[in-house]
Amino acid sequence: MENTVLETQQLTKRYGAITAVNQLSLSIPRGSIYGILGPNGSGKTTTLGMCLSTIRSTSGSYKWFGQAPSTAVLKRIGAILEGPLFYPYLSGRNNLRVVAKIKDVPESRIPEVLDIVGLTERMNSAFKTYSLGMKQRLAIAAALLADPEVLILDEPTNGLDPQGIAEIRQLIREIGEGETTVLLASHLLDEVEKVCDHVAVLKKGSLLYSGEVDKITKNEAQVEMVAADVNQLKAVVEAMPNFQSLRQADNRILVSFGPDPDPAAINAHLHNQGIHLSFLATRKSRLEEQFLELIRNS
Amino acid sequence: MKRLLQIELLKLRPYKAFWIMWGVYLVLLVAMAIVFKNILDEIMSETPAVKVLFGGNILSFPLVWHNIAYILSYLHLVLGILVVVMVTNEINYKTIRQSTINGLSRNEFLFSKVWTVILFSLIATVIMMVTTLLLGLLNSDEASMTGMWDKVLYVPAFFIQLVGYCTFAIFLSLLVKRAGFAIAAMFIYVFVIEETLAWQLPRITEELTYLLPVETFDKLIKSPFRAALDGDTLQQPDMLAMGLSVGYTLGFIGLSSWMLKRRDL
Repeated sequence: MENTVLETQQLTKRYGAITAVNQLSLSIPRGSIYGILGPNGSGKTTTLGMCLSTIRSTSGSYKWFGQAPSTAVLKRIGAILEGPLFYPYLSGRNNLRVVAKIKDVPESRIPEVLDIVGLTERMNSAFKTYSLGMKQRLAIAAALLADPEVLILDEPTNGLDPQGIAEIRQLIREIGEGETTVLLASHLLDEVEKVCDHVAVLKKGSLLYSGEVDKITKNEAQVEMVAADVNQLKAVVEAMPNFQSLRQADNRILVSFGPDPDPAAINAHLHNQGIHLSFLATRKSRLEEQFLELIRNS
Repeated sequence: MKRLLQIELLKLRPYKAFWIMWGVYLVLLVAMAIVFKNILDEIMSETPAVKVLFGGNILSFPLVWHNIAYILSYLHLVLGILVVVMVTNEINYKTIRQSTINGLSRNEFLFSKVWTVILFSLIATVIMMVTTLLLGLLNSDEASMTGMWDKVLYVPAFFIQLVGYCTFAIFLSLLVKRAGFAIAAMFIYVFVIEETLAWQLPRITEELTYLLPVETFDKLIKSPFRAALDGDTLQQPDMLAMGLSVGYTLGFIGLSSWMLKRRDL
């Protein structure tokens, strides 16, 4: 079985003088929860639109499951782009019947997905009477109909209240725990950090970073320390072999030791030097800072 | 084809506007047939010369095929409006985009509409045929019954004409994208642009009017009153127009497909 679900090669979309997506090459591993992170207008939706055949690419190519794009391939994917799109006058159930017919899925699957998203009770109400959260849940139900190998969600929590956001995120995590690969586009760092294991960061249509979420956070882990004599502490820390950099705030210091610092070893070393820490913690610098840094640096 | 029709019927069956439009169509159809019959009865009883002019009772076989087909062809635009609503809804609700994402190709989308339009046209044609048969049977004497099927070609002509109008409506809807604009464009094109050209072009040569698609659809069932005045009571559907109408219909479908393929949804 192909280990890469989606692979894009130099995918580009131009609107006149504006380049919405610029030579984007991505590869989404099977089974991952992959976040596409970027501010509004960074080309997330355009990229997904091209891979879902609604937007024609200017140049470049993409492959799903190692195959050229086709309707057969799209039927294996469940995707929501720019919010839930349904016939407002049709009931939730009838809307799903349309999707099931398009995807060649038996109608017996409809009650199952309605149950997963908790819409069984309201399945006979017209879509236009649904709250935003219910509309979003119906969209996820539709995306799950074909028991897809890949689930694509574009800003799935946009406009939802905190409870709705928590529910949707929980749902995504549950789906991602199975075999399903989840591709999530979001401008919310917090969302990507909480839900995803891989991330690609986009800015103005260009790829700034792609890789595991853990790696970017781990790389920059810092150790926060407090001791009675800050100056003595600084002197000893600066002399340590894997020391990289240091920042002081009052009597606290934040130290970078490179990837994966070992707090126990640090503590033992300082103890041997006669320094007794009153506080020791490792701090993963949050994705948010990384993200802002990435965007600033480029 | 079956799958595409099923998809479309799933959307239409619970849709109120769809039933209202068909209701309006049927009511108008029956009303027009009745009004037409009453007016003609009156005219023919007051001025028997009309009968002579038409070459018989206007509502008897075989003339009734031509006359009813002509009168009912004015209702094509009602179904045309329904088609515009059906197509522009998909653009308006962006369900055309979601359907593509779900795995319906652009051409499958187009043909789901085309097959639906063909189904509509078949139903309308069957209704037209039943109405005509009833009126014909009620108003024919034995002599005219012998030529009962002489002008039955107006039935397929009616069908081809209606499919033509509806594919034109699909094309306009995809081009203009908004229901209001598309309906306005349809009326302006049919009643202003083509009417003017159809009136002016024959000054050069009559054949040029075959370049106008809707005018060509109209030529399939020419005015029987005009035919009567011209003394052409044996008139049959214009065969050149029939061939060209099929061509224009395929052309509208082809253009729609070309337009959709090049477009971001």
